[in-house]
Amino acid sequence: MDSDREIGESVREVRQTFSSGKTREESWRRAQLKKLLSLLLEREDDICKALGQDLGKHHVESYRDEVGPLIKSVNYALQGLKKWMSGRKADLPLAAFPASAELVSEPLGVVLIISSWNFPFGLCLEPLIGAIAAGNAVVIKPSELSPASSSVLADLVHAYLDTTAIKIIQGGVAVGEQLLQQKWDKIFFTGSAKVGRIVMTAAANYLTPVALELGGKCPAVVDVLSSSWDQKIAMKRILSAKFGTCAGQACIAIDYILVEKKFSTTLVELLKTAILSMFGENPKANIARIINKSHFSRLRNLLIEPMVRNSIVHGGWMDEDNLFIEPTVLFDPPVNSGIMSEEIFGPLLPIITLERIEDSIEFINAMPRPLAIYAFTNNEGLKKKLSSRTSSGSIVFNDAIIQYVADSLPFGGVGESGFGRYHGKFSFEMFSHDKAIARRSFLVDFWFRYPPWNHHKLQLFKSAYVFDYQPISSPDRVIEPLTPQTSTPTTNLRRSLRLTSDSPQPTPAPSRLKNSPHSARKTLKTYQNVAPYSPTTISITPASPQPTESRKKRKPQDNQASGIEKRRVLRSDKCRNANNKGKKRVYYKKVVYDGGEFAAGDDVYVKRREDGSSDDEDPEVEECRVCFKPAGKRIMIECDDCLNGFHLTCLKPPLKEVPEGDWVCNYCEARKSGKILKFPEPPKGKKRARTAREKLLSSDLWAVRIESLWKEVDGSYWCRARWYIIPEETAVGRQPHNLRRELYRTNDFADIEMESIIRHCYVMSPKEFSKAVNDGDDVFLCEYEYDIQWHSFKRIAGIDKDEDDDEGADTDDDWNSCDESDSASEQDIEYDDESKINLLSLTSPAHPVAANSRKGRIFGLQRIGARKIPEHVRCHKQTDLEKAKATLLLATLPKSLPCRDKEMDEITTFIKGAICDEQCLGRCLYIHGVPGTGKTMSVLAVMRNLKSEVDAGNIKPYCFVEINGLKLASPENIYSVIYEGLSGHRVGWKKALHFLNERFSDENKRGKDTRPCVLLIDELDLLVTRNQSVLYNILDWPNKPNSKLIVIGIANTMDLPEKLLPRISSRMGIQRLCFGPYNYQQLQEIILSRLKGIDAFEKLAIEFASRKVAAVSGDARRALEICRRAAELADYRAKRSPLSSTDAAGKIMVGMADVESAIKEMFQAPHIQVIRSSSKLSKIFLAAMVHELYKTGMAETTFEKLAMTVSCFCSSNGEMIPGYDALLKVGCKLGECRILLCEAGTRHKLQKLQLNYPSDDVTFALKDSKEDLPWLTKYL
Amino acid sequence: MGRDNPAEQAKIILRSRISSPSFVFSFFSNSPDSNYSKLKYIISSSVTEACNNSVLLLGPRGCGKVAVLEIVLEELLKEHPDMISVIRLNGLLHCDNNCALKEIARQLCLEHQLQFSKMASYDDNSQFLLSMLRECGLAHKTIVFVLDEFDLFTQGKQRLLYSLLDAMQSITSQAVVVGVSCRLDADQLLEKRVRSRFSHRKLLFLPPSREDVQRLVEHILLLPTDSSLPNDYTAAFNAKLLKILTDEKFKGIIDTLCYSDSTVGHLLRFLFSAICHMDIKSGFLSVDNFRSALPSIQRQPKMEGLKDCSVLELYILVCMRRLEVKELELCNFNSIMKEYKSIHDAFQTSDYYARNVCLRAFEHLLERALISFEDNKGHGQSAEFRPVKLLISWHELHQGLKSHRSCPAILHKLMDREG
Repeated sequence: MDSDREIGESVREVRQTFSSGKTREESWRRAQLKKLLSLLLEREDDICKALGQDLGKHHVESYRDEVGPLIKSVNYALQGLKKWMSGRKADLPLAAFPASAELVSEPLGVVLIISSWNFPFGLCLEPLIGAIAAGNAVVIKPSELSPASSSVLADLVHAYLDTTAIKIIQGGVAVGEQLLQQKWDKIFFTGSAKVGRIVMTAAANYLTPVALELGGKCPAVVDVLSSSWDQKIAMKRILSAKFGTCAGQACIAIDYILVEKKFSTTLVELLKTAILSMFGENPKANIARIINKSHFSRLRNLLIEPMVRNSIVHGGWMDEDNLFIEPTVLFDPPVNSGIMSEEIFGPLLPIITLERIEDSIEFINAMPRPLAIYAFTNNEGLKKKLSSRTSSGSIVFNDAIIQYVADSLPFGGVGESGFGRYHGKFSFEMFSHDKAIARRSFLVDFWFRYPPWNHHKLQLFKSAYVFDYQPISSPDRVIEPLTPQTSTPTTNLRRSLRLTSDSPQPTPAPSRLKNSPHSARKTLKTYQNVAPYSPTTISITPASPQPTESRKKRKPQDNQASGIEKRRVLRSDKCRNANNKGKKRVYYKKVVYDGGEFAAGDDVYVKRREDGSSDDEDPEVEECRVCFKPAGKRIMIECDDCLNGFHLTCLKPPLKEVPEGDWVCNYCEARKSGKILKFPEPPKGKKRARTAREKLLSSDLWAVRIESLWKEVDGSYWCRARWYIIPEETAVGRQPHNLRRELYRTNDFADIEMESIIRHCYVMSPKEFSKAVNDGDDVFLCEYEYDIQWHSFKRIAGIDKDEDDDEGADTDDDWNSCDESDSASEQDIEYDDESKINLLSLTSPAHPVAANSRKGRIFGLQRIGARKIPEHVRCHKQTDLEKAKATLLLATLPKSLPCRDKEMDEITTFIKGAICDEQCLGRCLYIHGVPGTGKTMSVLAVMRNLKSEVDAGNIKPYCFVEINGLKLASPENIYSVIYEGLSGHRVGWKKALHFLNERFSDENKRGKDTRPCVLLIDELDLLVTRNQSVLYNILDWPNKPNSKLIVIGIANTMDLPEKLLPRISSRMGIQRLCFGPYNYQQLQEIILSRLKGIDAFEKLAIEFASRKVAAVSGDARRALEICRRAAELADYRAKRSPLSSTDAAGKIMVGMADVESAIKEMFQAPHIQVIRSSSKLSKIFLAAMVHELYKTGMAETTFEKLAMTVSCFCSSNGEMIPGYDALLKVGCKLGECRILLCEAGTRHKLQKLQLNYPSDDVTFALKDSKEDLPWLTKYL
Repeated sequence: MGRDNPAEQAKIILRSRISSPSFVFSFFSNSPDSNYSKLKYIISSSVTEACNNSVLLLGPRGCGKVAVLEIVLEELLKEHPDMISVIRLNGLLHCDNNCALKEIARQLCLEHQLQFSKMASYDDNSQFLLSMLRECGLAHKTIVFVLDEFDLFTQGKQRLLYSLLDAMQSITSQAVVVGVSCRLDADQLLEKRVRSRFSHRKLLFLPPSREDVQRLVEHILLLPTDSSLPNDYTAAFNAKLLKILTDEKFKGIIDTLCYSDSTVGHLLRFLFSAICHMDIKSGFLSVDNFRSALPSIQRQPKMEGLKDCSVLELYILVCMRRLEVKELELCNFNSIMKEYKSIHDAFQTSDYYARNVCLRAFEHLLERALISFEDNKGHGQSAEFRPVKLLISWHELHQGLKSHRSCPAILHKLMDREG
């Protein structure tokens, strides 16, 4: 009873220590581990002595099995502790975006460790290391069967470790039972299966998790080992794993051996000799003894069975007084005997023979699952079979026991051999709990999560639950204590950034910004006080032409009460409700609200926080950063770095006028040079007012772009907004080359109430931004779109341009076709859009949609984007040469098309005549000309001009379809493409042909689309099929009455119509337009017009290039490419040797030499150079070819003749005479390069050869090789 | 396993060096006139200046066109991570437009972790390619198309080249097309409209000059001083090697090597075989190693074939040669047999074999491609009646007989008489 109370007391104390939180501290864990380490290092002798007393282990064995591994484990734990303790990041599905999640390990609590007697230190301290590392409080119950070790252990722990948290309780079975009565958070047990059952039963009382390390009969499979080396090593390893580990009293010791019959006798002999050499005549010194009498007699009983006794082939001697058993080997004891049915746990080694070694798998599987399987074999197949078809805690090939010391491998059993795994990090994991932590923000919400339910929401759920985990982060990535925030904008982070921005931080150097859009826009801060808000009326200009609606704004106090300025994210479920009730939203194009006029496409500030108005002074006026007075009449200047405003007079020294170029305030300059210069403190009682711009850039405000505006059923005004974010809020944070006023447009939408809109701001593209002058403070720059899902950037300049163009064409249709008062239909459209957007943003990454199919609808491209905006895009200052290169790019659209005015006029009149005719008869135009004469470009330019006229209302709208014959999969495909261009649907070509026939011939019964249609077919000659039906069909349609089809065909050949069937040429060949090759003046003009304002080319160089091209082909592309290449060459030259080639002004000009080398590269065939640098034999070969050609006058010759000539040459000039085979190879190599034309090499002496280049070229090339083959010239 | 032996280790180092093109060709990368720096400039300027380019790499096989390109690409991928996607096509595999486009789509999908569909049509794929080019252009990403065996892409209508090059005429795309070909007239194979869209940058890869060969050998064979090898061994090895390199005998060997083929690939094969001859015991390379490597690199297949012929086969060859001299129009097995018999009758040789044995020998010669059928016609006919031709010349036959170990004297006589 006394001990009972004592135990209860100890456990309470330990638990108290744990709840105090002391053990959770990393410092505590580390300190305890270090103490443990010093315990092991300093008291090694005590430990080994105790082991000697209890088990008779040799000092070395003790160190090998217990002290050594422990020292290693402690070191490993100390090393890994920090990493183990920090959490792991976990992936969350996109549907949960934005969110983050991690796993954090926390200690379980108070842990009971019950260890075994065979390794009294190892089995008790090894789990202790894990338990301490995980931050648990521990109670240890060592085995009573090894009393010396237990008491040493207790002393040591008491002396070294923190006894308030780590206790050792010694005692027998009764104490053990009492301990089990207590409440634990984990019980770790090592021992026999019988006791394991008792432990687990007791644990069930408190639902305590347990880990059991039991034993089992671990087999060793020994295959036929042929090499003597392998045999020797295998025997050594088997013996040390059987007799050398505490005399076989170890849970992972080899229990029995399985061997093939034919190898068994060899094995026995091997074992015998190995035992002798390893343990010698007196094995007592090297082998541990049996732990106690009862175990000894158990083992004796195993041996006494008669059949077993007979099977002893070695050893069998027992010394009861000293509890020692000689290493004993038994050959084929009966399988049903005691020795083969229970765990031996002693130095008895039965060998079981099998017919085939593969039978071992069945044998092992018939027994309870062991803790370990060992196999000694070189047979890979057997290894594979063993590892795949047996079950055990571990499997080791060609060795034993080593798995115990590997920290990276978990140690533990399966089935009857126990459960739970430890060692290394696994110990840590065993004694800790991985707590899941998920973080969400209030930012984005999915409206369909909440009732009321409907079918639509179910559909959305179905797609939403296809989780797709972002592959970006690997699951095991370790979170550093202070990870930079990546996804969602949080105020804290921004704050800190804002605070640190006063301290020295890397900012772009002013020189680098020289070329940025900054400088172009010189900001003069001359603010006028804007009239304060006054209660005004809302006037609304609806999208549909309706009388302007006006309404009183709600009362101010009303406003305050309801004006909780939260970022409300409303989803359309709200209006869905409204819709059900039969009420409708009304959409507007423009709303006048609170004195401001807001239209779709405007950019506005939006309030962010409830307390966002804490510094709610007049935000329109910026104050001088020095005197804290608003601008007034004095001129303020803005620093290009920190964006603060300064009065000219407040500066030191004061400025008289606004300087040209960039200007950086002296505070920023000081910061850059490493000094800290503080801004003056504001006068007391006056807080520094911050403008909306400043608030936005410090994320106290948000900016959005209004996409659409509407009035809710309840009369409130809402808009759909697209967020802008500042660089700090992106995944990469602010990059050094981000501009101060830069914003990113996101692909994130939200519905917000108009109430939260503050006022306009202006977000512009870089071009507009550079032009914007004195537009006030609320000007921002936006060049990129930011994808909040993929954290990637994409330029928007190009996209926007295209979109605008499309809109230009489409809006007209909408105006004509849509019933204006039908707001319901418009609403539906909106719904569609919305759900589509949601679906896209949600499900498209989740759904496995192939990106390259889906009938031309490309999916998944949104995930392409730059992870970062590349620095060179921003910080690179273009030199004149680079500018020249850029404008000379073929891709760059020139502002004007010089030299093609006449042709363009002709095309324009043709199209106009065809379209504007009341009758609109179909027409056909054939344009021909060599490549690169601007055929397509001219037509497209004409179409652009016409479109602007359509927009201006001068001409009736028409539709335009552009097709390139070479990009069609087959000529027939053109029908589908035309039909898609006209109707937007994709159908098969046969169906498309049917529809088109209907449309163009059928008097337009459907009356749907009566616009004329212009069809531009590039590379028309590719449409020629065998029976020419495609061309015929297409060219026949225009002739049908009311077809309103105009076909413009473009091809290179002049006589294409003549090559075709007469019925086609009669339809096509009537109107033709020829684009002649450019002459040199025209080419020169084209180049010069592109290079206007860039001083990089010498005039003569351009003339040279254009003359050369005009003489060859008159291809403008060629001319431009030559100039670009020349510029590249000059640039290359300049970059390689920056000093040599600059002229006086330090500028590089593209000169004649560059153009000449560009022309050379482009026009000159490289064969001469190749011939010159080829091998001697090839030169002789070629010379022989030329010689042969002159001799016979025949272009073609055979290899045999040539070989004779070559041998002749060689022998008469003292060269090495080549073998025919070598010569043939040379010939084939020359043929490969097409210097020769030759037949396949298998023809050998019959091979026919011919020069591919004029013999003069070859002669010219060979004449140069004087130094290596001086005699060659005389044959040429 | 002998790993500890420095000679073995040195051998491994040298062999792995020769097998890695990036090491061999890094030798050429430092000078500004090298193709390496030119190519790198072209591609990197396309990346940083967002322009399109198309380049042709021309030159004989074994001059390192692809190797240099790979070095350049690897370095650029390192310099601009995440900004370059490389699409590799080979004319031997993808000369069909449809399958080339599919392969492009597949590689693009793989690169950007998109789902790829095998079922997509030509149309879909070409549209996908265009949108990918646009999207990548907007994201400042460059796509590099590498078309190996460029000349094979020019078969047919050249749809693929046209689509690629035409796509590069738009401002949003950012791509480089690199064609690699050993045909010097590869650009002339392009159709006119395709050629007009091609930017015509050409880089010519030539075999190295004599001095370059010398330095290249040094570059490859000198052991690195910072390796795991013992320092004294490295020093001794290098000293010995330098002595060999200045040796006239060695220079002679290299000259013989370059006499027929001076490309880098040939040189590498030679060096590899020389290193395989290296004596592990002494641990150093010697001139003999190089000398013994030479014949293994310059094989004479026909001569070796002759050497292995049986006496009867030699008879047949000589008979054929005699018939050839007589300028009989038709020479087939039967006429050969007649000639054979006449020789036998005239000289009473001991080597007279039955007809079917001779036929066997005849067929054997056909298999060894020492003789061949005159034409591909008449497959149905049995081999005896089809006209055949000798594929080796008198010279070769003469030499072959001389070097044959058991050639009957009568054959020599017959040949000499003719000569």
